[in-house]
Amino acid sequence: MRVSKTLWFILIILLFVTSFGFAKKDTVVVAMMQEPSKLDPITYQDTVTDIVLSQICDPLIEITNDGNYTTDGSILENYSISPDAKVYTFKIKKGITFHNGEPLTAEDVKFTYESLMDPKLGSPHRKYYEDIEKIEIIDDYTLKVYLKNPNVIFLATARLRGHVLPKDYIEKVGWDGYQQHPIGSGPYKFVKYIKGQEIVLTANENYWGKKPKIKKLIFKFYPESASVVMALQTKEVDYVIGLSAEDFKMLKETASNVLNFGTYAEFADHRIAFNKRPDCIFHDVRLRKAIAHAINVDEIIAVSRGDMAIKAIGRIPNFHAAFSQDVPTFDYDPEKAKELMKEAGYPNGFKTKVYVASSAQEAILEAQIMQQQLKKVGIDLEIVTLEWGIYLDVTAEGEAPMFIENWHASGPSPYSFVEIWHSKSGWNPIFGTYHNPKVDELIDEIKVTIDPKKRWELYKEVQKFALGDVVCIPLYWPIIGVAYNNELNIPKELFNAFRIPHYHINEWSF
Amino acid sequence: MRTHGNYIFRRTLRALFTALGVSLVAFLILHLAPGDPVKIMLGPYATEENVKALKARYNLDKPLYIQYFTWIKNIFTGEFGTSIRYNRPVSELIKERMGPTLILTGSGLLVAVILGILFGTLAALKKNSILDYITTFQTMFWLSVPSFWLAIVFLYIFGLKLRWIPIAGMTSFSSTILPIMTIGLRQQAWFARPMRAEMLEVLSQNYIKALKAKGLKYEKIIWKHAFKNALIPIITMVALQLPWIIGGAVVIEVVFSWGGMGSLLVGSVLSRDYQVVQTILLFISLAVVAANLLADILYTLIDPRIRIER
Repeated sequence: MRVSKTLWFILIILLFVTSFGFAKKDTVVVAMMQEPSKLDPITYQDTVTDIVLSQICDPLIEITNDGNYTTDGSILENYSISPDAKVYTFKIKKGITFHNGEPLTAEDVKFTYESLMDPKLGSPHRKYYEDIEKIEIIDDYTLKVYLKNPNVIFLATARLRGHVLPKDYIEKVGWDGYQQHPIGSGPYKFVKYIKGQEIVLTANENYWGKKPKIKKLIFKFYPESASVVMALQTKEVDYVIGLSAEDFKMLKETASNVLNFGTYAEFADHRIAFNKRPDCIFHDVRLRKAIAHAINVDEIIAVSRGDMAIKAIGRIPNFHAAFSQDVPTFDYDPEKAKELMKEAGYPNGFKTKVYVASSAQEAILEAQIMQQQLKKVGIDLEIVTLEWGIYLDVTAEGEAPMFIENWHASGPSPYSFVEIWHSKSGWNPIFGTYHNPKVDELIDEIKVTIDPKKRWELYKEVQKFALGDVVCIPLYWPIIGVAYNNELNIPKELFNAFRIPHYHINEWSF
Repeated sequence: MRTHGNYIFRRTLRALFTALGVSLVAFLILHLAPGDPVKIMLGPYATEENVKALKARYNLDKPLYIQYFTWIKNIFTGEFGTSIRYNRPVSELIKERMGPTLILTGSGLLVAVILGILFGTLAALKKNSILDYITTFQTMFWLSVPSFWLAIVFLYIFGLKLRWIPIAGMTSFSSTILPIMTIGLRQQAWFARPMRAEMLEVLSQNYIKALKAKGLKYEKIIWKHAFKNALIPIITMVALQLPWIIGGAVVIEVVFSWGGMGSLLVGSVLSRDYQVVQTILLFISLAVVAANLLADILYTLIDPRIRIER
């Protein structure tokens, strides 16, 4: 009698322990280093908000691993582009519903477009939609978007920032109401938001696409990197968004018994930008070239990122079809740098400044290495670190002769890598102004060239011209390291610049 | 003849003016500092038109003095403005964040007061003993290590190595222990040292000697007479901690992912969220003024030796 009682007791305890173990596997905790500013799908500007909304909403169109468009995993049945690249026709899959049970129709897509275009709502992406002349609804599931000018890169814009919104719901609860309880047609449903702490989502059982394998998804905010690294090691957190290269390296060395690791190249580049206004010393292309010869990029990469970067040739990353091997590069050659300086009238060197945002730890390190390298050719470099808000002001106003920038292109189109060189681009003055009629012409041509092969050639050509002028010095393409709970399975194909693991949490499993 | 009531009234009035002055300074420093909230929010690639529209929406296009007076005027109606970053009323944000901060700083202070008084008294009673030296050493230690470092070390030992306590967050009781202890252990040092000094001072007073001569029991002298008197300055010290209780322990909140006022303040300063920063600063300055006032009043009430002059 006694023995069986003890046995029962042990059994119950075991059952409790194991069920507790399974219960944990129902929930995945994803750490963010920053709290989303607000869950407003129109005005947000931060990546973390984008990530949260991407679990709740679906994009109009998806992107494949090699940067092409696909209707797989998107709400579209199919789409077509008119031969003149002015009319885009979208056909929506039938039977998709929002979390409140209402069907997703062409009206919702049109509404999302119009909200992004509405000056009163103030979307920072509004200018991308300025090309739209009108949106016509053909039937419940078909709509046509007419553009003022031929534009082959419109599909990037057509994604609607990845979030197709429910018209009826938003008209009922208002934009503020939507922020309190966002809904969409995506794989996860909003449950609650505890400010300063976490956002809780639950699996959408009726999801039309790949149903989430993990029931509950929690985004937790950890502003301090030291804390989040420890939380990852105790498995309090299963995955971290925005892990630094340094922490990744450290974890790989010390915590491989509890963690898995993965990497993916980003569709981004890290570069030195010049102020090319006439009142700046770097108006002179010879001095820009001198800097390019005087810095040792390999050394900079080795110190700041180690093997977590690929040395850049041109701006467009080497995994994209528009990558070009054939662009002007400038080898490390201090003697040549000195010659160029002499030619430009600075035989004894000169003083200049490089600006970096104080939050960009890696850029600060890179500036320090640059400082040492430039000293060897007689250039006295001062490093100015400014808090992000001030940095934005100062660099845009042309106060900074040089600054180190991290640029994320809105994939899959490489257009934004080159668009900033166009005289009429709004970004042109921000990155120090640059005018070259030949470059303008090529960029205009990209926009109307429908054949991708021809288009990629144009991208290569633009890079050749602009980088010949040393409009900037490309440093590297960053590689992102991801460390996550080793009980968690993340499909290999998600480790990709255009897919990114945390944008497809519905494909994860324990 | 001046009365207590009169004194308190005058002190309160002066305090209010001080708070108003602080609010003006806070407002000016914030608005004159470089960095534009709208540009930070819209990022580097914002168009001029978007910037303008957003500025108009938050009244940032008006002259500074109008912005200031609108703000002050609205405060009296309980309106603290709208946060640019969160796009929500500031009062709502503060209401959400105040609770967690009060729990953290309140319990931290409680732990600190109890430990501080305990260590201080014991060290004084056993003056020059090993216990006294240990107290001196430990208080020096806690005062000289930065709280940031302390928090990380605690996390490393108790969270990562021993796994006794979760790393961060405020979801369970156990997760509150580390941040509260970090605050408690550091703050107790502030109280332990003055407590020791006060206690020694009181013990050397003539009336204590007289009580001893009267043949009163040692325990009674210590706890009924000496301890009570030594406690008075400590009470005012605790009152002066009030602003910090409201403002939050910035560093501790960040390290332990504690969603309180401190982390709200840091985030808001970085994004130049004027309305939020102004309001929190106003709250803190009001608390400073109130704490000083409270300390003064407590003094006059508790200690009859303090006279009101003029």
